[in-house]
Amino acid sequence: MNFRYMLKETADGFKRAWGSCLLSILTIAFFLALLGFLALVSLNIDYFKRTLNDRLQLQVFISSVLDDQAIADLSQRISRIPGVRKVSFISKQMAAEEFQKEFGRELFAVLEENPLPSSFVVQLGLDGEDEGRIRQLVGRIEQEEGVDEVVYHFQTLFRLQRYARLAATVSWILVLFVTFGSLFVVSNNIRLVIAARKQIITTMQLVGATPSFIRTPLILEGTLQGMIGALLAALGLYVVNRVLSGLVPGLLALPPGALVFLVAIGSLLGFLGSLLAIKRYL
Amino acid sequence: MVELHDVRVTYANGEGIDQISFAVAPGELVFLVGPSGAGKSTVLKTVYMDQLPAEGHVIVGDYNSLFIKKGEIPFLRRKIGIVFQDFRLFADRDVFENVAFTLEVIGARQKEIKRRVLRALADVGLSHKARKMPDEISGGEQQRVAIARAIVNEPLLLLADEPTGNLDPETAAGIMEVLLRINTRGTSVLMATHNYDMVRRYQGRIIQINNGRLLS
Repeated sequence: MNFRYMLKETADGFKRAWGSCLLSILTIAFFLALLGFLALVSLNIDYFKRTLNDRLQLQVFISSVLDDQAIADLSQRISRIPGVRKVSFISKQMAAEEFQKEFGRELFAVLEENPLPSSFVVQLGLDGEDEGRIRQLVGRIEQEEGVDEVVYHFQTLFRLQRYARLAATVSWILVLFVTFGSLFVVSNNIRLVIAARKQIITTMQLVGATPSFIRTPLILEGTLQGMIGALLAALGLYVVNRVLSGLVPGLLALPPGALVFLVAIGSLLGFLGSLLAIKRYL
Repeated sequence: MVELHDVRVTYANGEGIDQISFAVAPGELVFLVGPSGAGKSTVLKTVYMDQLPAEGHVIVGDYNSLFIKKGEIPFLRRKIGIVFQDFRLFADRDVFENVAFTLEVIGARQKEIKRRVLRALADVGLSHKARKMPDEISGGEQQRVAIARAIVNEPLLLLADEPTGNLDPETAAGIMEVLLRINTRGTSVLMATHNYDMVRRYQGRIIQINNGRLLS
């Protein structure tokens, strides 16, 4: 097979029907950019979630009547609860020092005794995605004898988890939409090319062109449409990434590998789309 | 070269050909003559195996319609040149590219393509129109381009289906001259036509067909 001829035929195919080719490329670019943007959002939500997970801790205020032995026992019991990574004791004295460091000495100047309770800072080793387990664990600590109150600030994390789940669901729907949409767009474009060139294709067959000789430029054309569309999407995502990074410091960018993957996916969709049309109409 | 043995082809509308048997020897010129709808094109289709016989068989060189595989048909057609009444040129390519296409199909090298295309165009007297588009040349010239495309790969057999059907008598005579010249160089020519008066003037075997059957 003459490679130079195949490339020329493919390029001519683009020239002959540049309008529908362009439309096909732009549609694929839009689909893939949408997909890439969602991947970017998911990546950043995931990153924030992990950051919050590392800081996942509870403050367990303990009864003032507990003596040192009871406090040590309680600390041990809490440490043994699955999902607890580390338990640190904050005595009344340490709490007061911390308070004074932050707010000055004024409060203690007018009070006769230290009103702050002793507490444990409990660091969790749970996967932050598991909101149910965190609530279960908090409930379990609350039931321990000598525990007055458990305070935690996980609302942001829980909200992020909900967003992440939503983003994942939307991503999957979008993956299906993009896959079928791109396949349809490319396949329809190649179908039109085949219909427009029906007589030429018949003549090609009569002068001895093999099926692969006729099909290869069409497959290349579809693959190139997918690839160019994906390249445009990757370029768009790169620009969006740069702009957003300027606006929101610390924002994660899609790694270059992801953009290469996007181009590969676009090419594959183009390839499969044209193959579908050829199988069906040629 | 070409042998048809009791070939029968039936179309859904009941038309077709039946009990067609004849042979074309190497270098022979054969005219298949009959009115429109007589089955001439169907006979040619069985030769280039666009239509496989329901009964009987066709032999072209080493290929037999009974045993040929689908994937072998393109290779059979590379040994045959085909010319149609409606020329069937590629409107988006110039004369040179139209002729070159046959050689592109077989993967010939560029240098070889250039040499052989120019020679084929010289054979049909169109060297000076190599860069013209099909719609920039006359009907007769378009048919010459089609003939050049058919002979550029030096086929053993040239099939011509009403090659002069769309042309005025003077231009048709010119096309006939080209076909005869190709034949005298050793290429077998099987030409289907409805114009009995025209072919009578040329040296060649005439086979008559009507209602899908050969006339004795």
